[in-house]
Amino acid sequence: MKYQESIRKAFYDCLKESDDVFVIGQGLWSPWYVGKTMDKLDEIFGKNRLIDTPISESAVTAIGIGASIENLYPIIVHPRMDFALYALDAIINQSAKWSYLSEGKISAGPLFRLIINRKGEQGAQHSQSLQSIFAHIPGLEVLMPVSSQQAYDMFVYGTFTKNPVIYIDDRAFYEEEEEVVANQVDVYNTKFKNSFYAKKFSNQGDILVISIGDASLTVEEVRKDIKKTGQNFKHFTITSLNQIDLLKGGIQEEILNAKHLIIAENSWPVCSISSEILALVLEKGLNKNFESIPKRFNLPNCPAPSAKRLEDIFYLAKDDLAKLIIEKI
Amino acid sequence: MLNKDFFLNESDFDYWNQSAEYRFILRSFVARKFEEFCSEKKRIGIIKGPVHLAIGQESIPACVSEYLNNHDSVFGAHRSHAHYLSLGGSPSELLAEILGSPKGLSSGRGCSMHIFDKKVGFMGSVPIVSGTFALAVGSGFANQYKGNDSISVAYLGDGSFEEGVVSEGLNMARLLRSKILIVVENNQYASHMHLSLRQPKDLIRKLSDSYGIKYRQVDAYDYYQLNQTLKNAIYEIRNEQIPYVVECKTFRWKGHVDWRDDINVGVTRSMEEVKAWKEKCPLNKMLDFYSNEEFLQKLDSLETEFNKILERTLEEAILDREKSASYEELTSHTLKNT
Ligand SMILES: Cc1ncc(C[n+]2csc(CCOP(=O)(O)OP(=O)(O)O)c2C)c(N)n1
Ligand SMILES: [Mg+2]
Repeated sequence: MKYQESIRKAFYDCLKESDDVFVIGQGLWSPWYVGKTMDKLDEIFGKNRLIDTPISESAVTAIGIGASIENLYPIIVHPRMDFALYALDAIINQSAKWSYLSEGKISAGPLFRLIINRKGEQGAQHSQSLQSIFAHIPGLEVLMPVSSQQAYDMFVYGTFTKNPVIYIDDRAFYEEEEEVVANQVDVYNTKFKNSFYAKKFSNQGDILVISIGDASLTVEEVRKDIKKTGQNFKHFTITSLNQIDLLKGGIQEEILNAKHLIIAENSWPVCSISSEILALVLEKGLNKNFESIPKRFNLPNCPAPSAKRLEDIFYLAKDDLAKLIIEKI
Repeated sequence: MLNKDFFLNESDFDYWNQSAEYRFILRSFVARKFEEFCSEKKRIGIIKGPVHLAIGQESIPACVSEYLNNHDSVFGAHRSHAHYLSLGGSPSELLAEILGSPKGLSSGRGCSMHIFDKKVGFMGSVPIVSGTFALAVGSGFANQYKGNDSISVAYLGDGSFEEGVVSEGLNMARLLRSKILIVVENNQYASHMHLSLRQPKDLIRKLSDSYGIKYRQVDAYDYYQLNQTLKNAIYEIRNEQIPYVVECKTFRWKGHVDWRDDINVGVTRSMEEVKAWKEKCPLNKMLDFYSNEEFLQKLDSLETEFNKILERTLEEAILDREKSASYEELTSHTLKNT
């Protein structure tokens, strides 16, 4: 199943499972903004459960949070992560604090679906990848699925858990395919699965590449190219961004056994998930066998430009990454 | 201010500069031709990024700009080509920007949705809905604070009034006596959604009234009404140091984004409605009215010259944008002072 189809299936299954699920956000009655992830849902489940809204991100988000306080299961959609910046108060000051301040008696935990859609000359305010901002905040769970199965499982989890979940899907994945097992919708049994921590692509070789988000696609392209020459490297993607558990994600051993570490993320380096991973590696003393200095591979420190010729040198380039890896080999 | 780039000679310039009506025709015509050009280039894929066209809405900036000078500050949103051009902005630098060329207004950093040109007082347009509104209020406040003669202009779509920051900004504009002209281009739609699905009737007027801000509504397809209203409003803002809302009823002939004629992003307006608006087009009405021989000849040579500029810019830009960019070109000015 394609990644975008698995998101749609997750929407469908959640809406079907419980009448207490509703969706609110912009463009829901004409979901051209969101690939094929929401096709016809409004016709199937009705416009009272798929609520298209005025251009009012701040209130729309807070309204979803309020409905969650009343034990509904709201799914709040922002077709671009950049639009959700109007709603930072609702997400960070409110949603993330309710469980803590009420000592767990009241929770305000909707699913926030924030979409990344980069390239295509969309520029500085339509191309940001702001996972770090959310990952910084205690009281939120930040998930960034990189496979169809994860896209499905995390969506269902995020809808029914009482924790506020920031679910970030990147349109770069929408055409990626993977077989999906999709029979686990259960309103009352939502458990954070071990498979949410990381996604394993390969554990061959001395070099370990850890990616975040769509950088995993670039890394996999490089792996295919390099494989032709008979070489290989380990590749894992961290997909739970503020509860990073290297052990449960099955990466701890791999880091310990690796001789070289590269971390790739299509976002800015300062206070990034890449920095966080590197800090964890050092704190846990997992760098004992490293033969080279670990390297982060991030975006240049400037806003996303529009023109393709600038985009071409802004985003992580396959060739640069390949060079980095080959140097280590 | 009129841009002199596309006049063959002084006498052509003087011809178009002879009265407010002529300048109105010139500004509207230039914006229309520019965007028809963009529309076609987007359709065939030469323009890569999104373009939001204001074809059908040109009368508004064409009148607003008549009463502005280069010391005034203008702010806009995603649909800003006509606003910029009407200030006397450079069509070739704008086109180069839209095409992602290093010769564009910002060397392709922002393309169509981010226009900046201090020379003509265009302080910035961005695609985040209402993103520049309160900045414009602040700019108008600064002009009042400094006690100068300048004013600020915020162009907003009808959809903007749904963002909380617009309500907050209106309230502050009155409190601070921001010298701001708030131009609401009410074309009834925000992407796929009709106004009636998003706002109660007359929200824009009622909000303005509630916040104690002067308000006028005009039919932007009636040149004389539009022109007079804007002239009065700008006079009052300059002289009485007040904010002012002018809601302009208008219509865009294209879909929300790119070249398609009507129904994209699920807009369900009827072709009849589009046709009815086109028939009332204020630019076409003017062109009909002035159709004497000299006028037609001047218009023809204007169009020829203008097209040459666009074609030449396009040709150059297509080559220029193939040149690979340097790291310095990509990252300079992330901070103003380093
Ligand atoms: C904060 C934010 N939310 C949503 C969008 C997506 N969007 C872009 S333009 C637009 C509609 C704007 O409508 P209006 O203000 O009426 O301007 P028009 O397009 O009609 O000129 C929307 C919803 C955005 N760019 N920014
Ligand atoms: Mg509109």
